[in-house]
Amino acid sequence: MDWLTLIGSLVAVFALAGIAWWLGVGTPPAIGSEEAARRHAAEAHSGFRPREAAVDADGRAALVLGEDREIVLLRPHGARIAARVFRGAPPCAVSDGELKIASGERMFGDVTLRLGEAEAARWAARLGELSDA
Amino acid sequence: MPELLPDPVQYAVPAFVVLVLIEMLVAWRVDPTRYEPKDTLTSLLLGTGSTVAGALTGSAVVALSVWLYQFRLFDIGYVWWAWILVFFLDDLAYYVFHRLAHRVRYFWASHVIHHSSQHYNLSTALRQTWTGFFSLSFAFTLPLALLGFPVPMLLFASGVNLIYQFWIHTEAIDRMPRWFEAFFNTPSHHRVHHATNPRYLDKNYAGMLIIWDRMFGSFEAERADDRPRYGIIRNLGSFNLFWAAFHEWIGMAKDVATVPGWKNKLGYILAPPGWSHDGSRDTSDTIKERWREAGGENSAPVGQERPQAVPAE
Repeated sequence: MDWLTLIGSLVAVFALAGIAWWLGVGTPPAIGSEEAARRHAAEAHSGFRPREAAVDADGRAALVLGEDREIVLLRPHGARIAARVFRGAPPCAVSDGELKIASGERMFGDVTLRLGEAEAARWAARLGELSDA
Repeated sequence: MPELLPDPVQYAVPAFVVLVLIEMLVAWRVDPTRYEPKDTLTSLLLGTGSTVAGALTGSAVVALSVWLYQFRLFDIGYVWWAWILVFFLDDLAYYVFHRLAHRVRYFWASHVIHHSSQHYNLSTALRQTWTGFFSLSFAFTLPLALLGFPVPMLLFASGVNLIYQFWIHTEAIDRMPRWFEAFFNTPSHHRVHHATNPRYLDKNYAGMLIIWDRMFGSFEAERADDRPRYGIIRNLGSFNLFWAAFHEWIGMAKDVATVPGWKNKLGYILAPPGWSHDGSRDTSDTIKERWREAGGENSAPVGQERPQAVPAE
């Protein structure tokens, strides 16, 4: 591979990515309902039996509690949903009606759910119960 | 590459670019979620990086092959039947390599890059490893040099195999004719391979010919009621190029460094991906087991049927 080929390849790469951006393909998905959150969680973790779900007001994230203290955290990744499975409650914090979940992974990042004051506090308490159990 | 034969991949690259563009335009009209700009950029940059890595290590691989060729068992040469035989044997060697790449973490650490996109399109085909040399992917065709197939012939066959595998990374083609699906690897067969649905995990390792999966018990047909969900068990959740390229190597190094006992350390290198010394993680086997226990093999899965085409606005 010579420099000219490498530069040509990079030009083609950025041109194709630019065209994808210009076409507007791959818009972020929204998690539209608790039912959708449960389905995404069950798809992400084989054998997961969802019991209740908290869904961000804009559908940008969801937290799904299952049986056996299993928890699935969902958030969009590009045009798809990425998930993390926890056995036991992950660390969380409540602020201004938002529930912030720490994934524990720098590259995955923390995930914030806009739930409203009461729901955010209820879910934080719920996770606290699971931590203590 | 030794003289005599051209590198077919070099000639195919412009066609790759044009075909990605055409597929992207089709996706834009039919199902815009098939492409995502950052995912496409990551895949294509990983492909470019893989070409650079290949250029840096290629001469060492060729030199090793040529050195082994001097100890060849037979003088096969460029006879017509050798051309047919080499495509079958090279494809069988690919099947063995690919199966191990999914079942041994050391090989998976390199191969996972190709599976790390949650999309399945022609740009995913180009999402290739940067660390293939380090994970000894070249070693699987060396026995063919020892058998006596000329090294340029082997390199040509590998190049053709690589080119063949490009077009099967698409959702734009549903099924090929039945006779073709029976013998060759196809988009449908390979969608299964890239899927994380429990039914589809560790299936369809084929390169060009699906017959190896049918022969060795790793074949699974794509089902209309179990739409493939692409990616890996723990999807990256990041478009960081270097994280995509090295995350499994980093994870493996951390595991080996922190776990006590040599047996456990070896387990984190040689056991299937997801193996852990305390059983706290999932392998494809444990995922399949839970899925079977839940009656998954006999029930309609959560993904349901393939979506209808969504017209562009």
